[in-house]
Amino acid sequence: MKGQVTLEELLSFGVYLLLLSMLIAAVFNLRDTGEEWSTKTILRAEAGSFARTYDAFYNSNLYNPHKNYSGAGSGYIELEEVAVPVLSGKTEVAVGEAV
Amino acid sequence: MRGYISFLLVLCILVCIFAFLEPFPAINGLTDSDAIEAERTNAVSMNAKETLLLSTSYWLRASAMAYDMLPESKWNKIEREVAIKAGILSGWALLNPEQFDDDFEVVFWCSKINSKTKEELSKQMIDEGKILAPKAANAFPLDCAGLIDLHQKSGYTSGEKDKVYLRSPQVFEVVGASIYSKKYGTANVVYVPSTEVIQ
Repeated sequence: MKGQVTLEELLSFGVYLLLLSMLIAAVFNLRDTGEEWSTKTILRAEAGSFARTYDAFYNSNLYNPHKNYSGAGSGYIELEEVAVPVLSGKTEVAVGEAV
Repeated sequence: MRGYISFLLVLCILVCIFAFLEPFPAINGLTDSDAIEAERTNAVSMNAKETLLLSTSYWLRASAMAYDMLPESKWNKIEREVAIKAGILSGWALLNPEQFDDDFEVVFWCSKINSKTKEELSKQMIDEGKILAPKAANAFPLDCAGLIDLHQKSGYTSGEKDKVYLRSPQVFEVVGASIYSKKYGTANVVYVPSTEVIQ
């Protein structure tokens, strides 16, 4: 009987370890997803801000002293590090591929 | 053991939460202040231009009306033109560039310009950090009388109005203004188009 108890405890502990490892794996997976999501969110926000600034200077026919982006207001703007298509007032961020 | 599991679970949940909260400080740091500064610069520029137009229009009508109060037998077209131009110039002299906006400097001028003046002068103002008039600018308003192209009405019963163009017949010379903000680092140049009819 004593051996059976030990076996049950071992099985129980094994199942617990399995569940725990699945949980940890899920957490890291979620974290990766979160990082990707945060990168996209930040880029979208930056693109929107840059596009708004660009449009404000362009539409007011003002000399634009900010040189960190270029391009046309309605088509797309190019940031120094990332291409940001601006379509119909919405910004779509493309890092490698279009989102 | 249960306490240990609870600890791990809370830790996992915290990791998830921080992973999703990560972008918010960066997003909060973004502002549209550059865009707002551009829009304010444009607003002051349009105010300066409109002020020139309204001042010219007001003093055109006021001076003409004052002259037309003379007895009809004393009317003289040349004297009337001089009176109206003097009125417009005195109106320009009353413009106060310091009252447009505390954050902006405005200076009026009349000058020969070309298609690159707007961009080049704006850039020069930002680079040098001060407001500038074009190099070829004349003293405003005294030396700008030559730009008041007055077309007097032919009769007093025809319903016609006196008209003014701010232009030089020989060269592309205009009346305009420079706008600069040291605080924002923005600049602009505006002028009254030579085809603008002022009544």
